[in-house]
Amino acid sequence: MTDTSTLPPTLASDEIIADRPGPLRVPQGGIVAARARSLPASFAVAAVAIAVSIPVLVTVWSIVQPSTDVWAELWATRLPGMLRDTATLLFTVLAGTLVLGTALAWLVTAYQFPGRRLLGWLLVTPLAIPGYVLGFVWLDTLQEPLGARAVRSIWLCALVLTLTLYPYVYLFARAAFREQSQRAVDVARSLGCSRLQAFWKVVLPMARPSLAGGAALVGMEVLTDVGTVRLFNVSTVADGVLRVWFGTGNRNAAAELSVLLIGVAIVLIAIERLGRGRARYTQGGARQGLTVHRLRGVGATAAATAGWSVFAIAVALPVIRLITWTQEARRTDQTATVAGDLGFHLMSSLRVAAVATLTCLALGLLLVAGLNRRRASGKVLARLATLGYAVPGPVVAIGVLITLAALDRTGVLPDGWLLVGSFAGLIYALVVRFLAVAYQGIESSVGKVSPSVIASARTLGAGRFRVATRIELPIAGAGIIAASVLVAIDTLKELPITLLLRPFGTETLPIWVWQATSESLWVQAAVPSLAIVAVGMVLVAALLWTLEHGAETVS
Amino acid sequence: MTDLDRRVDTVLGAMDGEALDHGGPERTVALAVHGARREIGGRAIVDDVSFEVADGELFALVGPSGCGKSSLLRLIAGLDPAAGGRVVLAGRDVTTLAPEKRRIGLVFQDHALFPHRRIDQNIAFGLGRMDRRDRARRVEELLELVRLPGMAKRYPHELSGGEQQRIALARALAPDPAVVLLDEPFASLDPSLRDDVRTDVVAALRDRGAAAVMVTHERDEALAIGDRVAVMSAGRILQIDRPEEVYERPVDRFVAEFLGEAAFLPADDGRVAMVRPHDLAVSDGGPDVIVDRRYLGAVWRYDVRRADGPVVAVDVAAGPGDRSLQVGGQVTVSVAADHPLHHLPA
Repeated sequence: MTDTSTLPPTLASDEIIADRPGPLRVPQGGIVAARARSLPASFAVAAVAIAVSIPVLVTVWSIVQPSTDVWAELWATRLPGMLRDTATLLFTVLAGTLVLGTALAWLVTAYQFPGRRLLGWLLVTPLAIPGYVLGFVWLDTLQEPLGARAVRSIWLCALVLTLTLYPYVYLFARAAFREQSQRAVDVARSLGCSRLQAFWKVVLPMARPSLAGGAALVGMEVLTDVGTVRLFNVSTVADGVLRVWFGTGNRNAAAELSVLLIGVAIVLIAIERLGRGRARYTQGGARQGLTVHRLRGVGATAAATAGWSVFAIAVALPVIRLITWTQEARRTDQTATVAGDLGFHLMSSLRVAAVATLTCLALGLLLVAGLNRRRASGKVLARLATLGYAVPGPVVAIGVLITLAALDRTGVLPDGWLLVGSFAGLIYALVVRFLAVAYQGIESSVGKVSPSVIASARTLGAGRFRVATRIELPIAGAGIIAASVLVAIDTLKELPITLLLRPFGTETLPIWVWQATSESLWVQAAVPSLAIVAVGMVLVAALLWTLEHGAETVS
Repeated sequence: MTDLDRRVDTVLGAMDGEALDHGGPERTVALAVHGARREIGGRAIVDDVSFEVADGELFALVGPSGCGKSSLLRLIAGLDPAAGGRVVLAGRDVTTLAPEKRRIGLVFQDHALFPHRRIDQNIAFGLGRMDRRDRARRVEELLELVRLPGMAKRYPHELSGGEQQRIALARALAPDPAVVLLDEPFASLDPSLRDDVRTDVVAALRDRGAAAVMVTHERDEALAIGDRVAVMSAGRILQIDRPEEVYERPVDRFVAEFLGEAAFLPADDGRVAMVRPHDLAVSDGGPDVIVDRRYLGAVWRYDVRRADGPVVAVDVAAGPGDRSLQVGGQVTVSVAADHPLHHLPA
């Protein structure tokens, strides 16, 4: 989807601005103007877009010949409950992340209090902690006081997902608040609004597209999640897809069930689009950012307490718990298998994440360079290439499986080669799912380079290649890196696709967590969890660094 | 003498040094600023500024960029805190009041229309609780005032820059503010548009009888539309007077040069006499040399290096068939003013 609702956090509002017809229509250069004029380049771009969209289209196609008996049985047994649980979880987490993410973003953007800057960064770190990790930590912690039965509730599951997913909304909201002009607030106040009223009537509505963008990401994650819901015994549709898959092995039934998820995703995006109507949400003129209001005394204490509590519950306490468990595991581990397992799984994870990220980056650059989004064909191809991001992971996995199995059957491959269950197959699926993140990030970063800057460079005698390497990449570089880091974080935490498609011998860290937690072996699950969190934290730190650095380059 | 003139005179009298009579004329003062001061990091960016604006008066605040004029406006609006002094709006001391309680209208250069609200919703933003039909009537009335009827259901981005600026004024005027503050309101507009929008905006302000303070860095704009003009530099107001007074009788060289081309001739009293280009004439032959000339339409402007050193600008009325003097030509510059020259401190 090329609309802003599925953009990665860094880029939402830029994309909206890019939609605005600019005053300048200068002939462009470099990456942008290298836009495929040659036939092979056009062909490559079209091939990528089509290859990436086929698994999704194949899944949707499966609904054309529904397997009636499976549906009848599902409808009579689990389906109503699955739909109810999915809806409950979805709306609870959406509400929770919107409130929490927006409130925290507003707190660190509009107010000054001790520790604000550090907190502003730390509040992004839950991004490094997958829901299934936070889930089992709190599950174990609350088991004593709440009882084994009560703790496995949909509400706790929603709380855990909210705590791990709010950073999406938080990042979007913070970017939106930062871009807003204080003048609109000033005018609102001169027209009789208090600070709080101005927030409700002006700041928040203007941030709406960004908030919706963050919420859309959260929605996708909730629909996709299989690890966390399984922990809390919540049977969502995604969980149902896995159960049908592993239980009956009925590929078509699983695919048809997946279409339900696509349906929900489309409805979510449509609601946001319709709600926006003709209104715009960006102001012209200079963006000076909002004026920061200094808090003192009780206000400052309250603000700091609120922020730090969220960090403590979502990150600090769980990490401490993981560390103690890990030490326990090391003490009890006589044969040093844990250490050996850790190295093996870590390498698997890093290999998958690195290859998937680099592939997404390369294809993203190719698409950005090759697609002319002002042309209808370019728009269609861009939409096709980014389709996967609006589609939950299990759906992608199943679509890819069907596609690869069909390819394997055609026998075009050399003897003995099978795509199903291959490393390439796994990477293919991850690219289908996450290419949109890379593409949108690169597109909007490159789009930030002002046409007049490129025109100046070209009139100064720089060719396209020089413009690309000397002007566009340095300016857009931070944004491109940020997009790649986001892909890396996503692939590192990814569970359902890896679960369904991993080749023999590729056991990633999330798979280990999944296996250990499904037998309630928290201590064993702690080791890979801590590894995920550690690598994730490094990536989040890299992300934050590039975001800050990128902001400097662009301004 | 019109009512407006009388009111302005009342204030002018006060500004000339006489204490303002707090019995009668006070209600005609829309805005009074006494000793206003604003500091950032210990540095005064608005420094002991005092002035008053009468009801219905258009007060132009002009100065180079960074002189503190926008800061002064924000201080009056209550958007930034004052480090000293008082702001009195319609007889009410509002110095410590929140901006939303002050009853002021604000118009910014980038108009700051709310992009997510329709035009009618923008204009009605400050109207408070009101019957729906009254509100619609009010909006329509304001749209007519700014000569944009029928635009109610549009969105800001569907309007041109000039139209957006007029809507911003309508929005500021809607709650009947005690004073309208305009911060470089025409700076973002195309020069070809600017005059028209300016005329409309001034007409709308006059129509409403609203007191207004307009900040600009363009001297021509200030002189053209201000009932009075205040010249500001480095946080201080140097002079407040009618446009023709500040132009012809500036208090110092800075004001003189900021408001237009000026040369200074030594005078007998140890001060200098200011000459504007139209106060001078050139004649063929002599010790002075033309170093540059520009055709300005109505006049030719010559830069002439006088035999005793300084370069002065001289305007000569241009007309069809005018035989203009050439660069490098020898001329004599003489004072041709039909009024005594204004003397100011050297």
